[in-house]
Amino acid sequence: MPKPSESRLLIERIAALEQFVSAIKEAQAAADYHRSEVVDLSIINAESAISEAVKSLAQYDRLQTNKSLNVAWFYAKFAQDILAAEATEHILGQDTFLDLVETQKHLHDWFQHTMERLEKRLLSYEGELLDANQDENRDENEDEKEEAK
Amino acid sequence: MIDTFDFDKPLKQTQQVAEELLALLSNSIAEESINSNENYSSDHSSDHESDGVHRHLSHLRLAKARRAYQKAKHSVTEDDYEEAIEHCRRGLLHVDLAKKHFNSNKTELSQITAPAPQFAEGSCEESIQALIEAITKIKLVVEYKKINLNRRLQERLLAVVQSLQDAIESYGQPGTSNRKATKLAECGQVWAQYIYGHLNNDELYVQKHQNKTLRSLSSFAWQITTKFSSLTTAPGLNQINQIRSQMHSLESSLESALTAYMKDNTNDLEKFLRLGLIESQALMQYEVRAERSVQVSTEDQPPVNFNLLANESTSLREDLARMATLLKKYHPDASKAQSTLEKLRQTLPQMKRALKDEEWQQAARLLDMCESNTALLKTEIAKLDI
Repeated sequence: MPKPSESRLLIERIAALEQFVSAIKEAQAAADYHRSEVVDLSIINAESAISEAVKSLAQYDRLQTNKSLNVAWFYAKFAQDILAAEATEHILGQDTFLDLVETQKHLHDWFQHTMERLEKRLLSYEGELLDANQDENRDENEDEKEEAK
Repeated sequence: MIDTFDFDKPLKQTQQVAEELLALLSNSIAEESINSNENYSSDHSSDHESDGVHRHLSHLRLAKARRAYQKAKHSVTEDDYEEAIEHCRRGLLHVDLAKKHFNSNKTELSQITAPAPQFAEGSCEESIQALIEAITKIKLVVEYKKINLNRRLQERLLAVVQSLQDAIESYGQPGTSNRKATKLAECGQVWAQYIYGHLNNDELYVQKHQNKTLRSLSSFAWQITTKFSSLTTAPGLNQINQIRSQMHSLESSLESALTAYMKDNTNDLEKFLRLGLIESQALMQYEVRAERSVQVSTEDQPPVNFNLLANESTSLREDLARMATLLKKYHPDASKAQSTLEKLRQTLPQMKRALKDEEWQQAARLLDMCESNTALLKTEIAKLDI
């Protein structure tokens, strides 16, 4: 049997990676206990790298095809590892997941928390000012009383 | 038909070749459409799930092949044969992939042996792979030990994930060397060691493949986290604030050393590592003292918590600085929000000073300004794209 050409080997790799990403997508859809944004992003990036690989191969650029496929592999492997870690946490742990990208909820909570912290700080300054004001008034009243005497 | 097409063979950019390829593409699409029973799946979605092959992927590729055909046809009508041939080749690749998917059995992710490429020792690819493994390991430890990362470490971790993303992007750029990607991945590895040291008091990497410089950076990151992070909780030590500030300074030395490493500035790199060493020697004094006090008080003290530094929170000043960056990133029209925040960041310390100096009128005026700017800022935050 003749040895498959370089392009044929690359096509095999594209197909295998595309099926791998598709399996990750299905696993992500089935993981109803947590929607990991980093997995979503990695899937998108892996698919886009596969498209780039097909484009490069159509242009006879096998070196770039190989690189794009490695890129797709990195993203897919990362997504698979994160999914596996989260499945372990789901089965053996208590569903406390560490998000690896700043999620919208994180940001929202952080802004809320920081503004609350700021307002509390301002309230404490206001309290200090009020105390100082009261002390001053008390001093003035005492002075007036003394003068009256 | 498609099986015999030689994708390696260079083609002449002529009208005849373009038209021959267009015909081949058209016929191949038709043939594969019939083979894979293309319209079947849309009417029999449940059967399509159970037929055990990648029918969905196959049909996506056929749809792409049709689009490539349309583009190729358009290019032929425009007499642009070079472009027509490229579209045809792309279309033929789509058909080939469609066929492969239709002839492959579906497997669950847990059963798949991932199509892992073999990367050379010490290569850029290996560095990126090591960073992926490091991030996953950190995630596993945090989740397993139920650690609540503080903002400082969380930001470091997000930056490590970003450096992975940057390294992969840089690696994938056409026509570039892998140098930048390698360095990004390596710096990410050092920070990953720094985070992991805080959490697990352990080394993250098998050192055999790392280069000498990277080894010394990783080892420095490991030392400053595992060796000294227990100091901030050691009983009998009253200099916690000094220790923390010295540890932050060590972190800055590591940051500067990594910046120098990225820029290939060996002199600066060595300088910052030396500075780090000087600071770590000063910390050793505290460590010796801490060890003594731990020995004296082990019976009536709880065990040393190596993760206390991980629970150290950020100051309001640091949070407001971070807010400026986030507003720039997420506000649709950041200028007003940024200037309000800037005024607030200037007025707050002035007001604190006025309170301290007992300049009550001045403090009250500045407090009014802070309050109105805070209210304005809240309105602006409500407009964020998050």
